[in-house]
Amino acid sequence: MANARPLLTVEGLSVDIALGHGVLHALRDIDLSLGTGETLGLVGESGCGKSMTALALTGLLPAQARRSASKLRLAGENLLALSDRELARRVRGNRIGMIFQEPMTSLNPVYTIGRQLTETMLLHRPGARREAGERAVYLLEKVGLSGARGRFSQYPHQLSGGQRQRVMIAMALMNQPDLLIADEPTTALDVTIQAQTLRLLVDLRRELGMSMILITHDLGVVARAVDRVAVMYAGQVVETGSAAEVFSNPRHPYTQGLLGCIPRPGRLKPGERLGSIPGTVPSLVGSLSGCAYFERCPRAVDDCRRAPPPVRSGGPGRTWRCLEPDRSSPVQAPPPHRAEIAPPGGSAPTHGPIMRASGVHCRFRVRSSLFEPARHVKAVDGVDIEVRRGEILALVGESGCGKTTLARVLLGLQEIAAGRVLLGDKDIGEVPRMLLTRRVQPVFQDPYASLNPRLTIGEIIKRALDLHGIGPAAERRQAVEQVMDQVGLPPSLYHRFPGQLSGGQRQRVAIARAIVMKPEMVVCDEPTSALDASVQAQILNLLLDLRDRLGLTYVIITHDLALVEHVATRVAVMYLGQIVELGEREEVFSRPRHPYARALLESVLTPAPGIGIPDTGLGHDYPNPLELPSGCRFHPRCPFATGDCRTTAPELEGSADHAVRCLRAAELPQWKAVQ
Amino acid sequence: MLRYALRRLVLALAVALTVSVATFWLLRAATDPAAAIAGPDATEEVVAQVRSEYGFDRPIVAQYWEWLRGVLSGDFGHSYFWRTSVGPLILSHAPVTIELALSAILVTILVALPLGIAAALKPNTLVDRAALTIAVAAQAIPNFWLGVMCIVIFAVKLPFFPVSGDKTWFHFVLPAIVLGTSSVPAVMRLTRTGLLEVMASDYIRTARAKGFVSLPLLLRHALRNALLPVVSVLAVQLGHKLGGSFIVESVFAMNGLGRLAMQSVLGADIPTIQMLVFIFSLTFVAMTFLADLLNAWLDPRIRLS
Amino acid sequence: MTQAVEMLELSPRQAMLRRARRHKGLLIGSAIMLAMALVAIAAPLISPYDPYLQNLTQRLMPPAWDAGGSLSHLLGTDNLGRDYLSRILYGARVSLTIGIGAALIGAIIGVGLGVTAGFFGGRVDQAITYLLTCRLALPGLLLIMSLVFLIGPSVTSVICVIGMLHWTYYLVVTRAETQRIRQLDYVAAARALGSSRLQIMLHEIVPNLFNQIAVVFTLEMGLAILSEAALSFLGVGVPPPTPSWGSMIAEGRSAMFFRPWLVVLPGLALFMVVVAVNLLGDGVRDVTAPESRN
Repeated sequence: MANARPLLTVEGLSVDIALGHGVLHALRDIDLSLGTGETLGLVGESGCGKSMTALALTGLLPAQARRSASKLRLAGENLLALSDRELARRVRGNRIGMIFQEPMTSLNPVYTIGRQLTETMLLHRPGARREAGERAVYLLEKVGLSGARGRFSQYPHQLSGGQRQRVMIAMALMNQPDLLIADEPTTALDVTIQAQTLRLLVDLRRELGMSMILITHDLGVVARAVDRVAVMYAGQVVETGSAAEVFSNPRHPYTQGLLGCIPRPGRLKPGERLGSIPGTVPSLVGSLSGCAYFERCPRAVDDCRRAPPPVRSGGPGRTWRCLEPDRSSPVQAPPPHRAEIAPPGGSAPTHGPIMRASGVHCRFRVRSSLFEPARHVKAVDGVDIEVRRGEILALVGESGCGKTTLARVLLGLQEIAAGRVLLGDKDIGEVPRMLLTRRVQPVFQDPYASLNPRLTIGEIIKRALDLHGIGPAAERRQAVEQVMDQVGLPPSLYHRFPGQLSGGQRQRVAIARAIVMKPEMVVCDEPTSALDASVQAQILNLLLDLRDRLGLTYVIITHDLALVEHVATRVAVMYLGQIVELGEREEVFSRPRHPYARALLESVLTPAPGIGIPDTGLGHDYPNPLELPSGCRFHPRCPFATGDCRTTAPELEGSADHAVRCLRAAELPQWKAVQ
Repeated sequence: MLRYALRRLVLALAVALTVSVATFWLLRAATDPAAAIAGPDATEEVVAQVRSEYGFDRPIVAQYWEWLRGVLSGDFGHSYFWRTSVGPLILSHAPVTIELALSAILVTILVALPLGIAAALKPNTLVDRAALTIAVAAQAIPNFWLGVMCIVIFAVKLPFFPVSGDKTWFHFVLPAIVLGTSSVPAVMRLTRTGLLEVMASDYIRTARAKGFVSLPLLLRHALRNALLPVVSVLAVQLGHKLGGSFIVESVFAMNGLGRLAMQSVLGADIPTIQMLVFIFSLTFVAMTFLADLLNAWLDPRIRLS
Repeated sequence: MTQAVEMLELSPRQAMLRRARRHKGLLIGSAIMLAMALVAIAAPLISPYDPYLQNLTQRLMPPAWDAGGSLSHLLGTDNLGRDYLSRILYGARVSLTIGIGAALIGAIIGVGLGVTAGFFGGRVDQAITYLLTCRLALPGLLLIMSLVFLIGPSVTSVICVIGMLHWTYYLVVTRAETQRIRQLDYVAAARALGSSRLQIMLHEIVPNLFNQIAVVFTLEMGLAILSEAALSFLGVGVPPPTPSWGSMIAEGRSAMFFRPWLVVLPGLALFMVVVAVNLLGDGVRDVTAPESRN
């Protein structure tokens, strides 16, 4: 329960960073307050300044940054008056604990876990060696790391990402801080681990009575895990309030737009386009007159540009920065543009599936260290799947499940160790490369790595036509410009280089390159996960539009179930190289039968405040693909596992519409959606 | 770890052998050893006679095999130029070179490491720019010229150190400085870049968030990681110095292996050159091997599976 | 960092040129190199004397600023009465020719091997890496010395021998970069478009290597110049009477205690050229890959 006594008071916090060509106003006039025992969520897209705020509070800003604030108090103590030395001695690691995003690189690789834990306490209380050791063991157990004493002499590289993050949490709690700042603590983790780790954080906080600032871009995480929310945009706090207030009744147009961009299960009818926010975040360099959101706001009027918007208040702790030109009533998110996804195929597919994979096995040689002999990872282990004409097939799973490898098999980029892949009725190995590539094209995840930085946009898109000799050379440029128009790129970009474009624009170029040859099937590998939420929606809508217009078939690889529920027609859930559930999207999402699929769905945190974070019962760790469990691969983590599951490996069984790989599928209790 | 060490050892030996093969072939291909021995005035017949006498007319593989067998049984060949066995020749010259190389590495460490660390701690300041300027300058100074300049300055104007010979400890100061200076830029840059990268890493940010500041942070967390690659580079540099000291030895008239090598080259003494190259490459390979082992031992990511 | 910012106005090339114009080291380095190149080309036109012309009555004259010097021989004369200024100007020809020639040969070998190793991986990579290790184990200068001496010292033999043994840095750099690029999605996209391996190598990978190759080229040029100077100093480089800064230093040793400029001047010339070429290389690196700069 939130205590009215304020723990942290921030007023007028600004951070400027001197760049070569100007001053970057990373934070402008931030006001925050946090009570004892309260959790505040700082939410916003990349570059909005949320991480910068955390660094500014603890004085960890980069050397070129200048911080200024009118008030910065932690439990009555004025942090502004402290020198860096005093901040380090008294506050950092002592009264404020911090957790960062990248667990893989946040621990020093040459020291043991035990040493890194105990030094946290010894730094502030030299000589308390015994106590440090005991507290470290206590905390390791609290965060759920089995065999705590044994962990002491382990090195970070011997732990998985989820385990390392838990060590980080333990480390932050060593000195019983008043405030815990968690900067994207679960973003780098797999979906199921994410939910568990977040739950751990929330439970620990409650138990130890700390306050917490949780920084994230994920609205679902914020809604489920925090009491109060502060929405940030372009270095400013644009809206604050309790989670319930902000999510049910957002007042700032950015919050409204953001909530409209997120695919939420059950909120939109299938085929409806997501709301999106046009435009991009303005540059933070140079002075700003008027409202930062002006360019993108659907309610903006001229006055908004002239002066900074006033801060409106709707009760204690409830503020938003908006001129509110239309005072009549709080405006809802703009209604999404309605359009139906054409059902796959139209009439019954007469040509059969585009592609069919049977019994596909893929192996990689892996050397875990220089001493050991090489071992094999079975990335794809006996997969049967077909891609039907006109459908949108989603391959879902967490890291190491084999979905990316399978996608590359379908693209013809990956060799298979066993099995057959048929394109139409011909084996993919016998199809001439040029023919295969005309029919199947990829869109990759990282818009920054999928375009050759030395070629212009036009050259990148035209390359396909040149390689295949499509159309007379003189007309190829025209064809490219047509495609650019189709994907929403202005023709003036023809001669630009990828480095001059934004992430969303680059992804459009990647899509243009994929469709310029009018392929039948496009394989998208995490097409939107590297993009901001507002841009994600734009790209998803584009993909759906193109499918309608060009009659494309998609195979989409993703870990984002909300996205899947919005766009897919059929879903395949993968785990450790096998498909564990396969069926029509409606079926799988309302009646999931495999325990893993159920846990996945439960782990998806929708922006529904007040529900809290479910315990999926999966345990904390993703298994090692080098050491596959016997019998059913999922049994070590499965809440329903029996003795049989340990010995017998199940097959994928069921109807054409819904198949599952589980021995106990028929006996499991009914599943209730957590909404 | 044992398997790792064994594998590296086998590789090291293979490299040394390959080097000896390549050298053998190259030297024989570059010149006619019979003509070199017989002298510039010898007639065709004399040369032919020399050739058959020394066995230069046999197939090259056989010649090589004979040489290798000799090496393995301790016979390092016979020098035509010096008219003595190569083995003792090399042994008598080795100590000077070893001492010189070690002193040079010491100079490198004493100069490059502090400079690199200072530059990394205050990037883009005067200290940093000064260090980088020193690096650029040191890289461009021809080391033989530096040696000659040292002689000009120290022989007459500031006679603190002797400029020729190798009798005492003092004799090694100037040569060590000259030889050590050549690797200062590379080691300094490596230290600087390594430390800069480490200081920008996530685990240093974690350490700062725990409350570490400047000196303890540096000593505890940063240096250990940053110096890992420097250690192995230094080991390799040592190997390099052992094989590349002849300019310094020539300039300062020291009787080390380098001087021996110079004179052998000028005398077209192929057996000695062959053996010297073999020894140098063995040493280099051994140093690299040691560096690998050191690295593996210091870095827990490699040491533990 | 902000991901979605307005589109940059400058193309990468324009941005690079702008950075280049502001980079002091690059400007200084290129200015000196340009001057050196002009001197080397125009040496016959601007030297006051023939560098081979001996005049034993005017041996060992000090430079014009020392007592006993005269303006007729600005930098004095050597032990055979040859004008030092002319010899230094002509020495630039030797240094630059050998520097560029050897660096080019090294580039062809090193880049070829490096791209092949990085692109094909597997056994090819292992074989080439083994070759690299063997080459590194060789005492370079000793072998160069031996080979040049045995073949017969000349400008050509020096260029060839140095070039054929100075390719390791090229290999290491291009191999690492090729490996890095090979993993990137745009290479996979090119494969998915149907590019053959050769097309990928030439169209996607090699153009992205030019910057790194240019940097290595300048550094290797400096190294080649220093190597040649060392060889000539030891007597196994460019044969006399051709003026090479290295051999001029060696020749000046006999008189260096009372005519130190004989030794200082060629050394300074060497120093300047190598500093310039290194500044150029560092500048190119900073300007083409500002992210790698600290």
